[in-house]
Amino acid sequence: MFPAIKGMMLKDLKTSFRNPSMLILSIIVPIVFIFLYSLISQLSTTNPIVIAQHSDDPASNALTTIMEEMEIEDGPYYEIRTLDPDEAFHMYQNGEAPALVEIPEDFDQQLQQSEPPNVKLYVHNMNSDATKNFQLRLSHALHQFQENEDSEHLIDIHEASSTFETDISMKLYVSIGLLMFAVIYSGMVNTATLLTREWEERTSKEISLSPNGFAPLLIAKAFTAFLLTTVTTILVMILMAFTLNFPIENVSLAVIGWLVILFLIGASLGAFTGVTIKKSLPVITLSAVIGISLYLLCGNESSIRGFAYGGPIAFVWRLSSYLPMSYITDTIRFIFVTGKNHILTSASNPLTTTTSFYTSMITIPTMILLLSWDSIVKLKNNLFASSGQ
Amino acid sequence: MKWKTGYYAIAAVNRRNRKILFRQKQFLVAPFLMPVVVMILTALIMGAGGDDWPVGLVNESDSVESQDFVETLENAHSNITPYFSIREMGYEQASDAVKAGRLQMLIRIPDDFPQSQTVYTETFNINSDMMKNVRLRLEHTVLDQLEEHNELQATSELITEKENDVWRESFIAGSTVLLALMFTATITAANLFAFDIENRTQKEMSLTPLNNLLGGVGIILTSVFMAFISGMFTMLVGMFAFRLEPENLWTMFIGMIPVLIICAILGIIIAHFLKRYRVFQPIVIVTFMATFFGAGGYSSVAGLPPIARAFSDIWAFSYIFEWFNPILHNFSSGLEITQYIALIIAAFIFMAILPIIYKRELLTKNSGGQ
Repeated sequence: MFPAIKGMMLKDLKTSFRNPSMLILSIIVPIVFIFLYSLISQLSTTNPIVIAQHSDDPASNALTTIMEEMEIEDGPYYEIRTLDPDEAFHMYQNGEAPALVEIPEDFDQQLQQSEPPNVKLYVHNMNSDATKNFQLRLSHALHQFQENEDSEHLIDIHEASSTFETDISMKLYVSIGLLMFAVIYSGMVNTATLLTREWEERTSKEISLSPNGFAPLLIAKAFTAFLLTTVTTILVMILMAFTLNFPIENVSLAVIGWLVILFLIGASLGAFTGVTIKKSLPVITLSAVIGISLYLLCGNESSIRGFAYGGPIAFVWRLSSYLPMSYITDTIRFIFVTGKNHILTSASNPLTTTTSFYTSMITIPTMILLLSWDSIVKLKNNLFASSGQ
Repeated sequence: MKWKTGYYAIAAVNRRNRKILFRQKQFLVAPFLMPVVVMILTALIMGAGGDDWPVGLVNESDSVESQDFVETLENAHSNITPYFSIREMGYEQASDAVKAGRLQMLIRIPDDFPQSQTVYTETFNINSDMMKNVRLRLEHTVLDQLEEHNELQATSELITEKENDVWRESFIAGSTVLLALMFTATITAANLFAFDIENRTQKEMSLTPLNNLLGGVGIILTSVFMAFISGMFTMLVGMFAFRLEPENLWTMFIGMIPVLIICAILGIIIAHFLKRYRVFQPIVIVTFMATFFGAGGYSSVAGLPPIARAFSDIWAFSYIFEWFNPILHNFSSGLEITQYIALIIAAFIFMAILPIIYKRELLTKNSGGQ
């Protein structure tokens, strides 16, 4: 049995390296997606802006200094591209800058005369999200300015408690979701194409006639898919270490364990779609659709949970909360944030709920076993298909 | 008569391609499914509804000052909606909701609010983006309160290009229409070209007395046609579900014609080099999806981080989002003359590449195991 497994694995690996299509599918696709997606991960933190600072007076300087220095864990709130009024208006008018803050010439003078000066915010309002982001950032700057100038009348906001000591970095939050996408997608594509290959290359008949039986095929395919997915996962982690500061050094055994479970889910989904459809083209399309959808749904479940009240978003959140990938993604996040590696129940993990924990404990093994079992049955029946021979 | 024969050949290839597409439904899955899936999920998850963020409010003070602050909280608004969707509730209930992540923030106004001038918050600080959104809303409200009482040191005034903002979900929907157009033209052309290779039609075409390039022209025609169908389908979904109110449609569709020709030729080039569906399909799908997110579809290029702006400068597809989104949302009535010229020159360059690709295809071994 062992020589048969070894033979099958070597054949699949050699085919993959001779014809790099498998490697392209498995490795380059998640890397391209993750690279381009990580480009916008800073979007939530840092907004480019131009400032027209008409005067060099101390008050104007104080306000621009606040705007330059205000930041959160992931970086500064503003990327100030210029302070020069002419350049600022030129950049705003020709679309190079999405927003402009204009500090009036007599800013300091008006302050001294106790007349509140008016800071203007110009926005190309083709996307309400951008308008809101620029407005709120300017309010943050003016809030800090008020705090420095006259804190007496300011209502104090005191954060009494929070789930974590510091906010989870958006980069880390996004990178764990993308890691889940990479493992599921890669597991699906590798397993599915390793199986569909036997029909497309018309070797299924030979396999079905082998005296070694059926088990070596299953074991060899699973191991080859696992090997290829491992390579993809490592490369994705290295890429994210550069683009999203992914803490690759903190990958613990518990994280690896959860990644293996994600692989099993992806592989069982891939096996099921592969043996059902038997053609690589729709299977690959489906893997990309499922992978990206799972990233959007399960990779963001814990953040959409807080505003999913009524309408379609409530349905979307409910759906994502039932999917075990949401639970796994948040558990991996929790391990990275706290360093706690032990088996995480809902009681020890504030990111998940009791319902989500128990649902996942039931759905993860059920999903893997059912899909795998059905795939094996279908594979056994379908291997004897003649493929036109 | 030669041109007439050529015309018949192109028309025949176009007709045959359309029949292939409708028989082989697997070719229609990606162009019709992917943009709509991306639109629905992105618009719902990242742009659902307006700016009204649910927060729990516990008002323990029955003072005039606290009522005044609650009113300010209720009235604080963005350019499209109120900033908060306030859920007044008991402290225990609100605190539990925050701990479970069902609310991002609880705002508690203590009974000594008139004296302390302090509000307390509890947060489910799941990530810095969520927290930025909710904390900055509260600070904005505090400024509103000061402004009402004439105690604000410096006020702000929002000046927008148009009176009403385009809702975030409409912007996303508009971008997915452009995505559907470009993506469908590219992937349909690539699929049809690979189909000809796989089914050895390339060999048959090479044996006809006509130039095999006519097959390529037929593929471009079919791909552009399918792109318009897919684009309009995506647009209807956007209009129905995400407040998309497309304008200047004729200008946009006419302006997109050279873009779609370029995309179709690009699809042919990709399929010529990569040959097999299973190689280029995921690359094309994921590259377009990532382009949507990282190069102008999800957010305008000017608002992207420096590295993404630098990438968008050399990534041609981001120009399409930049040039056509303002037309679609009526922030511009049409392309500038230089933009039309750039598109036409680019289309001519790609059309000049097409004969080279078909010449190369003639020279490649295509025995197909025979």
